[in-house]
Amino acid sequence: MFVPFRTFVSIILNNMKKAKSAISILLLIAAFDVFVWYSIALGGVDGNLRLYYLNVGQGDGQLIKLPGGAKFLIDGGPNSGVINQLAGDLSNFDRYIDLVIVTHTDADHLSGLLDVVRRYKVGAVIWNGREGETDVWRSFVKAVNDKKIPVIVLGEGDKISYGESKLDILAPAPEFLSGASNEAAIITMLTSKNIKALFTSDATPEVEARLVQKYDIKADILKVAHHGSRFSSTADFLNAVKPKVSVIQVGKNNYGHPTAEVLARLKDIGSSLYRNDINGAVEILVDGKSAKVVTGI
Amino acid sequence: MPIHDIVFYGASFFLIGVAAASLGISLSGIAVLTLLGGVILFFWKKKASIALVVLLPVVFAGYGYFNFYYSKHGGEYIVYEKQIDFEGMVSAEPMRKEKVQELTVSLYSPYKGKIKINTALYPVFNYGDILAVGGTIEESSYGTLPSVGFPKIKLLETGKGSKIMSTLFAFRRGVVANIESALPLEEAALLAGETVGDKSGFTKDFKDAMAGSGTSHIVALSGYNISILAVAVSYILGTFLARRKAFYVSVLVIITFVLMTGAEASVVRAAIMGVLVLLAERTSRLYSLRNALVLAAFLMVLSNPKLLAFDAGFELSFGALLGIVYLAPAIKLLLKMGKDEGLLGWKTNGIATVSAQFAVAPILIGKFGQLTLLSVFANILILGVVPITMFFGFVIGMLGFVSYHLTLVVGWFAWILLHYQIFIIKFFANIAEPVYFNSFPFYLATAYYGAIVWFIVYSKRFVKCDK
Repeated sequence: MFVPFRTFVSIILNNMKKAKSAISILLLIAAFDVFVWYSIALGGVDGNLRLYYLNVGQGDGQLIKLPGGAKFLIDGGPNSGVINQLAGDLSNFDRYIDLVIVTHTDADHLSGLLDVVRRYKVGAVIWNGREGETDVWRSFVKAVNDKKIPVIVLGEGDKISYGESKLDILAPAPEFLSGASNEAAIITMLTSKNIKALFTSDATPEVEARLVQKYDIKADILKVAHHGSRFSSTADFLNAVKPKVSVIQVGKNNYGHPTAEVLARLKDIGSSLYRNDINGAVEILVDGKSAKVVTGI
Repeated sequence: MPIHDIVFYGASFFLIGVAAASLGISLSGIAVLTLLGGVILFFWKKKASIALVVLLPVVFAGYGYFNFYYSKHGGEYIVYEKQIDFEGMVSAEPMRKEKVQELTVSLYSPYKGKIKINTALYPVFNYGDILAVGGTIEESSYGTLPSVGFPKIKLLETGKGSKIMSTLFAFRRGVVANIESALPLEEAALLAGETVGDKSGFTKDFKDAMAGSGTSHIVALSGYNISILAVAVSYILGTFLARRKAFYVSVLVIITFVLMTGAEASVVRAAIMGVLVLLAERTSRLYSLRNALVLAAFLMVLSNPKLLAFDAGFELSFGALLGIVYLAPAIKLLLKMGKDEGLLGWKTNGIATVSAQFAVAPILIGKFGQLTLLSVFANILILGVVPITMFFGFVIGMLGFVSYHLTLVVGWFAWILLHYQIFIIKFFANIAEPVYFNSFPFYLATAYYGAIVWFIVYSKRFVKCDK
């Protein structure tokens, strides 16, 4: 029963004894080389933009793979399910995420990120600077500190650039930081490969009104605010965004999400609609000329 | 009688006593049965009947021990189905599942006993935490602890458990974390399971796939995993330590390992066996599995006599082992199999799996009502690569404390093996349809085991007739 293992161990030990270690080391180096080239071939430079609206159940989680390879993860859903989703979207040997953005500290956006920082190397964590009061938040802060991940506070007006892509932070404005947790959520607009994608987290109607008033928020792809809550996604807001594609991140819930009101408003503006609870995970592949939506992955 | 026979019969009859007590057979019942046995033996083999008289007190000792244990440890005091406040200590490493963490808590007075608490994943609780809890304890079926679902918990103190255990658990968490940061989700879960028996990373789908393909045991730290560890450790130590030292260090490593994994019944049993294998190697005596088995059972039943008749895990692990020890050689004889083990030992693994399956089939049917026949093929294809995979698991687990990047390199090798196993597990889970049973009558089970014993005893004989 133990023959293979014994043989294996004895091969290593004998090689060392007989000063054949050079060959073993050479073999290891060769294997490592193959590994490096393999990862380059797999995870290497992809000129396309890929947006993943992860199927994390009732919660938010979006992965952005920018042309050139940088990966941003916005929120991580309510549990470790996000890891399952990431495993499907990142190559097998890709253990690195450049930026993790915590839009706000509600558990349905944050909990899964605990598993992400545990299992992946994370370049930096971005948040709105507003402390959470939950056990999940405290556990997250501890995990980030333990792993010595740099933490950056960003808010309205800040910008992240990578190659020709940029991520504009449209919210939270300072006056919203002290309000309800959802009001303080980080909202971002991605401009890349000739498209714009708006990530709204759990934006409240007040926040939406401010965005309409202050910015040009027209976008091709919209992550519908707050899982399709009827208070968010006002007609004014949707008219200002005029998305061609909308994605609702929603799972089994007791809130009635997504609400009939929001579904009707989205229909009125003529946006095509994808939902995690119906379509599974939603991936949008953008090559600069066209965008392709793939569902159910 | 040689000493190993005395040990064997002594331990066996003690176990019979415990079994009789757990099944509720009265003392007079035992007397009648013994008398009957004695009379039969007297006419068959006179010496044996004398031995029986000598061993009878041992049966009573077993019987008495069971009742003594009950009177001493049976004093559980738990108030069920009522909202109560209580305190207790987390007395085992918490089990982290997909959506809940499961705590085993030893109650503080006025209550007494152990319960299970299901709570949210965060905050993370650890072994040795003292908790104040408000909730309703619900009774559970035999063999599982009473449980409380999502109660109010307040952390009072931490680090109150044994220092050694805290350190070991922390080390194990470190190993698992290293594995998890080096490999994708499913590969990491499988590797953590195979190396340190950690099952927290398993998704429900994957767990179902393992059960469906009959391969769950490879992550349960069964005898297989521990024997691999025992042999590997003593082999490696033996290359640079004196034999005597190598033995003691190996035993220490195994004991530490078992404690670290939470000392479940199957792991303890496997460890006792592993130590006995090493002991036999050291003393150069023929290692008798028969004695090792009975001794392992004896020691475990001594620590908890309820195991014998009421613990499915205990029964399955001993049943499987008995099958491998006694039935497998008989099948080998029948198939006229020589020493050829096949590539990666597939023949040996195949026969071992078949034998274990045969031996535990009635237990599986009786307790779970189903049986997966194709699991034999899944096991043949997987078991051969488990030892090497475990080797990589330990390397990654340890290396992670030194260099994250090196674990990624080793992880690549491990990934190939793990990916292969996952493929096999899922493939067989998809095509293997379990056979369902409504019930398995006692007399049928008796006849079944009778047939197996007959087959083992006579296997040598009809092989001879063939010639």
